[in-house]
Amino acid sequence: MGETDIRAEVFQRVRKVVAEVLKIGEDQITLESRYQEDLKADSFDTLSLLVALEDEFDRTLEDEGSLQLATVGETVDFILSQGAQAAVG
Amino acid sequence: MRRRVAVTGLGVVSSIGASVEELWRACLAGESRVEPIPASWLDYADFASRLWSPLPEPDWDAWGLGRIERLQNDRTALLAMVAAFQALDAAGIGRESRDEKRNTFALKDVAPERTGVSLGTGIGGISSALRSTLHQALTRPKESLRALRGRLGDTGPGALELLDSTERRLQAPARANPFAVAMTMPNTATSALSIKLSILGSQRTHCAACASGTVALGHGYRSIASGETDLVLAGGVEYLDDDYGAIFHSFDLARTLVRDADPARANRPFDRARSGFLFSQGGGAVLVLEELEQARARGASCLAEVAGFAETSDAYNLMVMEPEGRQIARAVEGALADAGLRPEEIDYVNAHGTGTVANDETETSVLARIFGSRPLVNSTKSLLGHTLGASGALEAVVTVLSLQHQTTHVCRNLEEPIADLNFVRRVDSYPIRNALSQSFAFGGHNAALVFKRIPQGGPP
Repeated sequence: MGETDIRAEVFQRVRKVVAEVLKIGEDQITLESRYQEDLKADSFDTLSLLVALEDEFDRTLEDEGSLQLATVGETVDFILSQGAQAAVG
Repeated sequence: MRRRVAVTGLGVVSSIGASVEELWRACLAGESRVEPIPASWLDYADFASRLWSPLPEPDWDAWGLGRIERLQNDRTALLAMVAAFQALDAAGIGRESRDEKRNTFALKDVAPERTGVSLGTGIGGISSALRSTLHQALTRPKESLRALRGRLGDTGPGALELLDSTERRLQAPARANPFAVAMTMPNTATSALSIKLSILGSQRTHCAACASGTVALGHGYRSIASGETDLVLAGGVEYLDDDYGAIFHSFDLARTLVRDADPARANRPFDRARSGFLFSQGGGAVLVLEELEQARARGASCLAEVAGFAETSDAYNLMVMEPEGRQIARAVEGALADAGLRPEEIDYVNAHGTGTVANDETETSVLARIFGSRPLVNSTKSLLGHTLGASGALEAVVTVLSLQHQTTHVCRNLEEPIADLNFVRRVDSYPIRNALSQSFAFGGHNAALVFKRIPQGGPP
């Protein structure tokens, strides 16, 4: 699986989780979407997103780093930085 | 003037039924679910009791409780929600979405400020507390063991295998949960239910060990009778599971659990061969309690009346019941007085009936002193095992169903009764006007509820 494909798959799964937590349509979520400004996520949502992403990718996401992610794209990159192959394994 | 209180809806999650219909059918069929404890627990301790009553996983998604909410809530809170949804549906009280993102609702045609929640639990969010503790306590030591393995090299036969098996036995949740504080609180189920249904009146959690469910129902009844609220979701929840069998082991060490190894015969309250109680993984029950006139005015079906409640304290011992049962008797007599009934007007007693040697002895002697051998007596724990803080609420549900259907279930495995009481030996048509449900607990809590039949189709 190429790097582009892996990034696309991780994005697809992140988008699914964000939609599930924030109860919005997946079509409203892009790589550029900002959690607070565009998707109206509050602090409780941020914690929920963290827990749900950990569940989705079956891994611990380093809390401090992940809580500072501002956009969906940054989340995708963060997960890829934690181990790209494992992320889609 | 004291207001009257009706039961207008029932909801349950139990080892033998995840709905009132399933539970009642299983009760009348005398069914029970008794299985060996998980084999993995045997890695951690020698257990004197090897049986329990596991709780089948409810279909959370079918109740709209998806993955996110399951990660955020303790199991007791989820059980309370499922039982409450069932009870509200049965009571004909709809719910409309209030906040789609948070998945919360508002009750239709019910004043939220005049509505309360009263739930009992023995140990609250202990399963979540253990998970959180184990994650923190074991995650880094497990990493150290793995690192050590990498540095050991050739250490001779069996050494690496021993290291691996030790590391495997240190089970811990893979991830920390930032919701652990909220999931661990004793009030977690009560509060989660209040939020889920946008209930703005009093929300109370009653921790009275094995009497918690009965105490919670009693205070829900008093809240309506006194005029504080018009409707209360009242009941009890418990969930007692962990990867090590640690909660089970605590009860096992206290020598309270069944010793008999035969799953079919082990759990036998009030029988000479009883050996302890059957530990249940958990369960929950919620009853919709409503001011009687309001319930009638909205055309609700009134299943029974909550007519009396009393509670007393043994002030004797944290783990041992006062052998004469003096304060149990006072709780029963107090509940009867509260209901304005004489002992001979009680036709059915849903007993605490745990199956421990001492408790059954004391309970039967109290029942004989107050009621003689006239009223029907059974133990719902002979079917469900003991769900601790949920038990009183599950037994209240069975008591209401018995009044409603004018029949009740047998005492399973009762072959040689320890007392000359009118134990239910077969399912038959029984005239039941009034019924008593009683619970006792570690800590010396004694509580009793009196329910009156409301004939279908009209007053009283």
